[in-house]
Amino acid sequence: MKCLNIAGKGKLCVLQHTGELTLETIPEVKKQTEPYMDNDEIQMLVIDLSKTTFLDSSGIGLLVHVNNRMRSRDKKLYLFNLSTQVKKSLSLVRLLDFFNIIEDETALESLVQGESEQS
Amino acid sequence: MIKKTFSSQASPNAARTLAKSVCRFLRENISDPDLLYELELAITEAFSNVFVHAYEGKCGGKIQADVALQPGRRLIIEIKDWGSPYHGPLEPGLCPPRPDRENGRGIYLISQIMDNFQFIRVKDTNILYLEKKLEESP
Repeated sequence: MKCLNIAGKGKLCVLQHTGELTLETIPEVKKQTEPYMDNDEIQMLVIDLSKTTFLDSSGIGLLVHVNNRMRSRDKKLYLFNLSTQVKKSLSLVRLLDFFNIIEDETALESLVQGESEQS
Repeated sequence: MIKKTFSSQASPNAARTLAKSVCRFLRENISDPDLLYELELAITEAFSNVFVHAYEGKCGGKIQADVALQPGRRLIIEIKDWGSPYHGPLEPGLCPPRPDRENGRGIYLISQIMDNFQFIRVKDTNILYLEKKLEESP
């Protein structure tokens, strides 16, 4: 997971995940995500899942955890550009409607734009 | 009927590697990528379940998968371990966990993917029986 972009005076952060999100990989991904969840300047976290090739229940649990943590601090998590594999896994556990999902670049740009105007 | 047995020592890494090995074998006879992804997911969940629950997160216990495939008809996988007895739901008919719950979706995922699953304890062996009906190739 790497930070690609911080817009709107650091209030919105986009993280890119690449590879598998599974029992095997979540400890490292969680460690990399923690600083962004705890950063008081970041109000919105966007996780780009376009390059996520496999998502199991442990990976789903991590996404729910990040969402819960962000919500408990009045912040928002968005999942962006879901790969077909991510869509399939989230659909099987009926969580596609639970997460805030950004479908494409245009929608992301609108979010970044809106955040910049508010800052 | 094509039969093959896979085995490994339990660990987070081995659970995934073993699932990939089983799916490489299935790919030789199943071409639908959606179905293959679902099967890989169910098998990964089953192996992870063995590591996390039967062996309580400790590495080293044995996992074995006996795969029986009738191409175009059905797939049966029996996943065996020699750890603690399983105490979760024993057969399908599960409700989805609450959306904000951070764990406990593995068996639900399996129930959504497989046509039949059952936990059986025979002496000191846990057996997870998984069955999926397969469509004839057009």
